Amino acid sequence: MNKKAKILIVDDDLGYVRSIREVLESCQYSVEAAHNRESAMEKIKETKPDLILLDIMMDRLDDGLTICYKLKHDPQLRKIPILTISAVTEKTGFKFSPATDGEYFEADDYIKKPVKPSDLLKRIEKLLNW
Amino acid sequence: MKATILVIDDEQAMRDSCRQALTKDGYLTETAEDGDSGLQKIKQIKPDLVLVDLKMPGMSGMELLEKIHDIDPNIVSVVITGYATIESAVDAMKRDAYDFLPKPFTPDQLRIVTRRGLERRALALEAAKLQQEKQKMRENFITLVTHQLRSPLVSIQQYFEVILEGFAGEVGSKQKEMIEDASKRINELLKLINDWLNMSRIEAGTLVEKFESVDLAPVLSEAMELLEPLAKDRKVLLQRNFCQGLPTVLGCKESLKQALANVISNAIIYNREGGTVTISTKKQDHHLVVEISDTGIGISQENLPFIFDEFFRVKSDKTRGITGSGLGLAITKRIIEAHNGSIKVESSLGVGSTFSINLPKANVER
Repeated sequence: MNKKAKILIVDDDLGYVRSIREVLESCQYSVEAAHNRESAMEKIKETKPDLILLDIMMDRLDDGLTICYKLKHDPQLRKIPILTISAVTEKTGFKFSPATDGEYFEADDYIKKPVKPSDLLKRIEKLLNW
Repeated sequence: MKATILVIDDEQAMRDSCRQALTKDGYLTETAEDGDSGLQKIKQIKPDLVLVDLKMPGMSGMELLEKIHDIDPNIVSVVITGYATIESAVDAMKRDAYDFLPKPFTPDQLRIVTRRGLERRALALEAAKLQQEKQKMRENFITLVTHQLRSPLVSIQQYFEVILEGFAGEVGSKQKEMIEDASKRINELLKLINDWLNMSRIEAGTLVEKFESVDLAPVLSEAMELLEPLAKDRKVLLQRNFCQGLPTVLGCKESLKQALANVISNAIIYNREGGTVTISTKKQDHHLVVEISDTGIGISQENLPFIFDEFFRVKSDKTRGITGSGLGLAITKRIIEAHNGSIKVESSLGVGSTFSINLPKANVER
């Protein structure tokens, strides 16, 4: 078990960050947060997280996609697993999934908001143990 | 970038002199000696401007003008003719020719007309681009607004999930019940936003971009499959009565599925226990018809005119326990109309309702 892992939450919704932080900290993960694209990129370089929980729509419609692209094309950072958590669905106009659009969207896993905490924890464990 | 100009004229001398004058001015100039080879060249080289002689053997200049417009309405056509009459000028303008240059003309006259035509083309292209950007912005706006509306609700839902799983301390059974109830209400609101979003998209006219040939039978089956659990829950039987060899329609599969599912779901919800919903299809001239009949509470004559209105919901003792956004049928109607179809309803109170959806066959489109 990788209980001391450092997880970065990237999401512009502070309430959302708080509720997820509660779940992660109660499982002894150390948690960092960033609320926009620029601070996310800084935090990633600075703190070298073991895993990133990534929102898609922040200040711009595609901030999460941009972060994902940048990370996965950086030889040092590409090994950090990315779990995308977003309310973006076919309904909101984007249609993508790592399964069908892996070429453009290279996240390691994807779940829809709101998430079941138990489901989230399971996915995090799986990504950390890869 | 150099502009490309095509000269279509049966007279060799005319083609040569035009080419000479225009090449000197730095245009890429191509020529063709009749309408047929002219059209072929247009498809190949995609010119910015075409000079068209009106009187040519074979295809006439007038016919040619129409065909050029069909290929690309933004190609600027200029008529050159030795038989300049007011009538022929008006005729040419009616066929979207931009200018009219009577023969004989001087190289300078040709240059002026050409330059003016190209300016016009630049403006038309710019306008088309702006129109596209505007459409894109509208799309993005809808997506942004939806995101803003959904985010806080999703955030609340997330708090509930975290609390319900005990990450914020122990939760008593009464608290749990209330939070679950609150969560349900939030879900209703989320559904309303989704419905509104769908409607805005249909309004923005983006549906047509996704049109393809669609076989309705599997679409109906998928919609029915989706609603089977709901039917089971309400103890309503879904029956199908599909005709063989139903022609395809031109449309967007996902939207059609949604439109049909909305009607079927109403037929289930406003039914009685042990009732049935019959979904049948049939061919009719150039149309196909989907009929969805239920054995439910029916709709009164006074309510019938309003059921396709946005946010209209029938209020009676029988409908009090039923939640919904009041957008379902409004969305269905818009989707069907975006497919050049129509929807109508017949109903009698206490007996049931039949919704008939009429859609044109794919091959009679255009």
